[in-house]
Amino acid sequence: MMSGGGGGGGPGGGMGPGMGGPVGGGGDGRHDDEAALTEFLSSLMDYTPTIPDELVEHYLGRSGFHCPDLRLTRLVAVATQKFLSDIASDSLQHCKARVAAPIKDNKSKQPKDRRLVLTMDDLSKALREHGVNLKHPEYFADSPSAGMAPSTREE
Amino acid sequence: MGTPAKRPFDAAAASPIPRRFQAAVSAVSTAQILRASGYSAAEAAALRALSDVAGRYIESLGRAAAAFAEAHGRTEPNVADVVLALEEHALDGFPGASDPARPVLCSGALAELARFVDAVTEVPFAKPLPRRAPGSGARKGWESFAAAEREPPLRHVPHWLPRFPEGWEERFHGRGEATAKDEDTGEVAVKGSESFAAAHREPQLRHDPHWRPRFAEGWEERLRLRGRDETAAKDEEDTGEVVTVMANGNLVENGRSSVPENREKVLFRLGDKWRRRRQALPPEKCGGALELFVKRTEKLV
Repeated sequence: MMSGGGGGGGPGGGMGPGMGGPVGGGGDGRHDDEAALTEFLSSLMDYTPTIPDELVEHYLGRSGFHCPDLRLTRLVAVATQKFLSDIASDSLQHCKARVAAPIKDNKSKQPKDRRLVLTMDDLSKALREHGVNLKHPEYFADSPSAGMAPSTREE
Repeated sequence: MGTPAKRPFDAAAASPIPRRFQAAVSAVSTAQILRASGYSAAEAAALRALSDVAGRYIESLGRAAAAFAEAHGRTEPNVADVVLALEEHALDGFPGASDPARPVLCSGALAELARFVDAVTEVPFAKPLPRRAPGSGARKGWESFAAAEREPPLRHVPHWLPRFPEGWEERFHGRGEATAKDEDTGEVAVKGSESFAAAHREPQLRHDPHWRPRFAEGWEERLRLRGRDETAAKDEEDTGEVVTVMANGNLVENGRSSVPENREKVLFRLGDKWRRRRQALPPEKCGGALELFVKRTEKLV
C-alpha cells in the first residue's frame, strides 16, 4: 500500500568531500557560517515546534538515534514540520485546482471555499511527489451498496 | 566524539512516551500542522496516513543520521550527521547541492529550514505530555533471586527469575484461613479457598465430597434465613392459605427439604399472572394446575 521512496539511500553519498568543507574553507567565512549555524540552533530553542519533543525522541529512539542534545531533536522536529507543511500546501493546491476546474454554474462555486477537506486523493497525489506511494481503496465491498453513491466524509 | 551509553538499557527502547499514545499524539500534531496550512477538516484515513508518514519520516531521518555517525566511528550523531541526513532527504534538492566541496554546517538545507522557521507562525503542541524521567524507565524494575542473593522460597522456582514481591505469602494464603502451605516439600495450595480435607473437617452434607471447597462461614444461617424470608414475603401478599415454594437449589438442610412444617396446599409459582388468577378463584376449586387451566379456557371460550 505505502512505501517510502528516497530515504533509504546509502550513507556514502556526500560524506567524504562534505566533511572536508569546513577545513578547506577560508577562516573568516567559516567562522561566519558556524556563527550563523549556532545562532540558528539557539533560535530553535526559542521556537517550539508543533511536534512535541517526546514524540520525536520516541521515533528517533526506534531508529537508533540517541542524542542528549535537545537542539538536534528540535532540528529534526522542525524538519518534519516543514515536510508536513510542504505536503499540506501541495495537497491544498490540488484541492483548489479541483474545485476551480469545473466552473459550470456560478451559484455553487463561491469565491471563498466553504470547507477545505484533506482527502486521500489529494494526499496521495501530493505524497507521490515526495516519494511516498499511497494507495487507498475507494470502498470496501462488504455490502451490496458499497461504493455506489458518492459520499464525502469529513472529520 | 560522543560517549557511549553507560548502561545497555539507556540506548534501548526506553521511550519517553508510552507506546499507545504515539499514534494519538502524532495525529494531533499532524492535525495542528494541517490547520496551520489552511485546512479546516481532514478525512480520518487521510489524517492517520499522514501522521504515520510523519513518524516514518522522523525515523528515516534518525536512521540516516545514525548511519552517518557510525560510518565515522561514533555512536552518537552530532549536528553534522543530522545535516547530512537532511540533505539526503531533500528529494527536490537544495541550493548548493551541486558543489561536492560544500561546507556541511552551512548547507542549503539548513538555510531552507531557517527560512521556514522565520516564515511560519509558532504553533506549539496542544497539551503538555507527561514525560517519564530519563533515568527511571531505563532500569529494569525487578531483580532476580541470584542478584539479591536470596534463595527462592519454593523449590521449583529457579534463581534467575525475578524475586517475589514483598508480602506475597500473606496475600497468597491469606483471607484469615490457616495456611496449608508446606515449605519443606514446596506444596502450595493454588486455590484461594481451602478444601474440606485440607481443613481436616468433614463436609456437613453427605453428598458433598471432601475435596470441594469448604462452605463459607455462616452458610447455615444464611440458608435458613433466606428460605424463611421468602416464604414470609409470599405470605403477606397472598390470601394466606396457599404457600408457594421456590426452588432454591439442590442444597438440603440436615437431610430435609427446606419447606415449612405446616403447609396446606403447595403450588409451584410460574409467574405473576398465575398468582393473580389463583387469588381470583376460591381455593377449594383449584385442586391442581390442570384444573385451573381448564377453567381458564372455558372462560375464554
